[in-house]
Amino acid sequence: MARGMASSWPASVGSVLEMASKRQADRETLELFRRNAEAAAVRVVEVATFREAALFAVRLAGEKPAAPLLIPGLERPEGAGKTLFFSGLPERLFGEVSAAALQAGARAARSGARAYAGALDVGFSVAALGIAETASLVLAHRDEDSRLASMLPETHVAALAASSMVTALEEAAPFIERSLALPGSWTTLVSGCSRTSDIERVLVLGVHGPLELCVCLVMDEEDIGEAADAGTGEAAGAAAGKAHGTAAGKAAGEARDTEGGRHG
Amino acid sequence: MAEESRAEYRERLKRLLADKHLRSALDRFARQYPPARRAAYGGADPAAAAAGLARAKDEAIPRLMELYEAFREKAEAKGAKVYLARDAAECRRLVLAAAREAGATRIVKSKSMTCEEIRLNEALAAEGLEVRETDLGEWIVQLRGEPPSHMVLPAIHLDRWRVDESFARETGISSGGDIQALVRLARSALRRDFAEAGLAVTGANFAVASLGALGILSNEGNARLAATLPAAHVAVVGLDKLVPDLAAAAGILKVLPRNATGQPMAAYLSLVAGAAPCPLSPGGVKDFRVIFLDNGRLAAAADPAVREILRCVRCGACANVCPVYRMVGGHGLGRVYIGAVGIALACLLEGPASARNIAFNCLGCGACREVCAAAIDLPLVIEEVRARAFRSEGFHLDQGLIAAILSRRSLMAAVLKAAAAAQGPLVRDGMVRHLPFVLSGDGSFRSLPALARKPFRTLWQELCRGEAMPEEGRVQGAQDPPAEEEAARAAQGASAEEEAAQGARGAADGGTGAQASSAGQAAGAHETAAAAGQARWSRSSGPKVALFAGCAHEFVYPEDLLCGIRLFRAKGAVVSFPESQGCCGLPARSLGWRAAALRTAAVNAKAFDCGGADHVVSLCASCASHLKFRVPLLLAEDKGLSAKAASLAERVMDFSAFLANVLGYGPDDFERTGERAAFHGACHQSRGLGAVREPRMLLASAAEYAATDEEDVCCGFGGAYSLKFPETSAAVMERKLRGLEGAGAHAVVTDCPGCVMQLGGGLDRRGRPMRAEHMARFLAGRLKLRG
Repeated sequence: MARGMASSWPASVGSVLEMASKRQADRETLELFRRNAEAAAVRVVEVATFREAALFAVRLAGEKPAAPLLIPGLERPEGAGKTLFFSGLPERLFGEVSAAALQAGARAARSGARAYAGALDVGFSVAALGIAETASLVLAHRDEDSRLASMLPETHVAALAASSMVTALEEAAPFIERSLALPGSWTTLVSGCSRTSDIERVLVLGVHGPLELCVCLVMDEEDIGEAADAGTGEAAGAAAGKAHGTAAGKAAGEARDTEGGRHG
Repeated sequence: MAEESRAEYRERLKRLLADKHLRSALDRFARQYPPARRAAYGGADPAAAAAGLARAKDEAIPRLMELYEAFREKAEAKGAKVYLARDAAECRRLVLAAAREAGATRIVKSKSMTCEEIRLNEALAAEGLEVRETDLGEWIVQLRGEPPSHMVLPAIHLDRWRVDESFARETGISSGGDIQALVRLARSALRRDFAEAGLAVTGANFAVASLGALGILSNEGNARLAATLPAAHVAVVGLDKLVPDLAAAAGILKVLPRNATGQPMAAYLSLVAGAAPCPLSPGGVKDFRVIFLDNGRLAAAADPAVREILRCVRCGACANVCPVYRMVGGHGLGRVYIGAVGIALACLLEGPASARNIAFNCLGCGACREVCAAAIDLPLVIEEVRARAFRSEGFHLDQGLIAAILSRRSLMAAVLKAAAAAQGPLVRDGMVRHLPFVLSGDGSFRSLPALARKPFRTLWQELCRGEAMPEEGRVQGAQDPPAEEEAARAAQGASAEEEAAQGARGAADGGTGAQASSAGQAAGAHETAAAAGQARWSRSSGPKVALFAGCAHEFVYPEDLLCGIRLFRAKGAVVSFPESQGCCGLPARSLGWRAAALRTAAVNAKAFDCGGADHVVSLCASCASHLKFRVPLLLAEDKGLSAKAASLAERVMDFSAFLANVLGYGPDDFERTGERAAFHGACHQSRGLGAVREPRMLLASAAEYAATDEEDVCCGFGGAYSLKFPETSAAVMERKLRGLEGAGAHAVVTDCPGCVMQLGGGLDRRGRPMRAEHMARFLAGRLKLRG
């Protein structure tokens, strides 16, 4: 009935109603993501901006005990102390974040992740999409540093634009498909932190990958443009051209715009 | 490697059964798994998801080579090198070549059953390469020099203390049995290997042809690290992992993590399309190779009787719910692959002779079929494997004799008649006592029931004496005998008084004081019902039911059949007994003797092609299930009989479902006493015929139904299984009895004479007061008499 009325109203009113109901659905999807994520021992926080997400990673680095050296002899490049590795962090933020990290007792790095295989406290990366039903993050990272940022650390912080949340895998499929069409592309669905129940079926978090995973939902729509990831750009950009109109397309499109502006 | 003999295999199983650590680890897992799986599906329908996956895989299986070519084209365009290995040896050579070209001396591996299949680690080690398994469970079994005992949980057979022992030996650090500390130890012990290895070897869970992309699932993150850090990566992938597109892959993702580990999704799904940039590589991109393995898969894809096994996504669920796996683990029930699918794959990949031991170590309970992620009819495939093993092995005296006797009614009747006469001095309370050891063999875990003095057929003929119905001759089955009372007495013969006494004793033990033996009641208090039935006959418009007796009821428990007939007639059903019927054929089929199975199928298809019965009912769920689901398959190619077989199958109905749904039995029909009765869901009833609600409703109508956990888990009988593998059968039965006894029930009621034999025999041998009773007998003894 409401739909019938809406169609007889001026177009602008109808689209406002539609937008309002879409935002409502998005809220539900975000809540679904949160519930499922928390069930998988994933921490979900909402932040306004991408900058806040990066600073949240810094805070976690400050609070956690230093990661033990897993490969004796392979020292941290910066010497003793905690390390944060950032991938996909816009140029203009790195200075501020590095300074904050130093204050929190950690050093920030953004290239050569392989050198941190022995010990890395916090890794930060940007997810292209979220899938609420399975609490999955879609990471489309072709470059090694971005991928290692989500594998080597004890704590992985993933920034995800709230508008890039979809409900089911099927909705993410067009994005994944286009991402994989590119040469040498890696697309990873991350649904929780590294885990095992190989011994007596007892669940233990943190085996070879992160011990914990935090998802920062970036709520401010205007800020998404900043949430571009050096690794994501290429794949997502190509995907975006054909996926406009969906949350996936939007996130990817903005990623491309930023990247295109920088490298193109 | 010389194939293990059956005797050696049984000895090995005995050792596994005696392993207390193994038993407790597997028992814990068996209890955890079903609820975890249910929770992971949430509102989603597992059967629908499995059917969807089955459809997608069925489309892919006939075109594996086409998909391979498509994959190769796409992946090579993205810098991957793609190979096809015809067999294990070629596959090993290709991996070795990759290692040499990468200049690797150390290799990190993530878990891959396909690599186990080609025995890759041994080959790499023989070339002086150091191989490190990085999946925690795989690393544990590698340190112990064992093969994995599960496709998903390789070290499920070990407890923390054994893991601690192995880790301490390797690293010099003991974690004192702290599981978290053990995991952290593995994290630090293996990180150097990831960082320094020259080559990674992984498997893949699927390969998407349209994208040239592999999908690799892992929870630990080891597959991602392995595929990322070393400069070279080789993925070894079975050809059956090819799917056309991402939609088909999504179908796998919907079921695989849920079925495998009870998770909505594994922690990591890496989708790898081509060679990614790698600063460590000389060319700046990774040396990435995909080796597809045939090794019998293409032949299986062209083999209609078994090809659905290629749908398998290696979730391991068939092992997780298998009662035999629960007792002996994957080292006992598997070769490379584990559980039901392990039986099938052993046959397809290594030949029928390799499967001949494990193929028969299956109860045929059908639990695997219910949970299969790809809706594979695993029991059906295992029956086919048995038939092939049987052919490859040639004639075996024990199997041959059993099959020969079972498939020929007259021979069986003669043998059993002689046995019934000979058993006389050995029988007391309806059980065979003092059986010389040479005859009881290893079957002493349960008492054996005595053979009935008169088989059912004789009783039926006595019932019908002088009462042959004009419509149907004796051969096709006389109907509705009036002299049931007399026959019921005859069934018990000289032991009638003993039976009645036993019934009373059982009741007294149970504390109800109200129950007489139901057979006794059927015999003693039945005049009115019999008379009523007689009166009803001429004008009855009730359903016509043809009775399928089944061997166990015909020769061991004929009085149960009389109870069944009484229940049918009390609601106005017209009963016939087509006398040319024989053994249902399930035993011959289970033993792998196709010719005998065909013969019995034909006999029964013809026997029931008469009389216009609306329903064919057996009090044996196994017989009914075989008639309904196997006879039409066996006779599908037989022009003269396929229609008859289909018509028979159409009319076969579960006994309890017939009572409840056709005859309308319910709470008003029984004298409900305070007796506590537990229920055992016979495999072929609850899973085969799908009758779950009805027997429980009937039981609750006649007694206080004491629900127990795992009611539908097999009792361990499995027909010939309990003779072939008595130790495992006994272990499965023990577990079942413990569960039943926990309910404080006086009786356990079931719809299958095999289960009655197994559970009743086990209870008797242990001197337990609980008795096992067929539903027909239990209900008939509590039927309200109407004027």
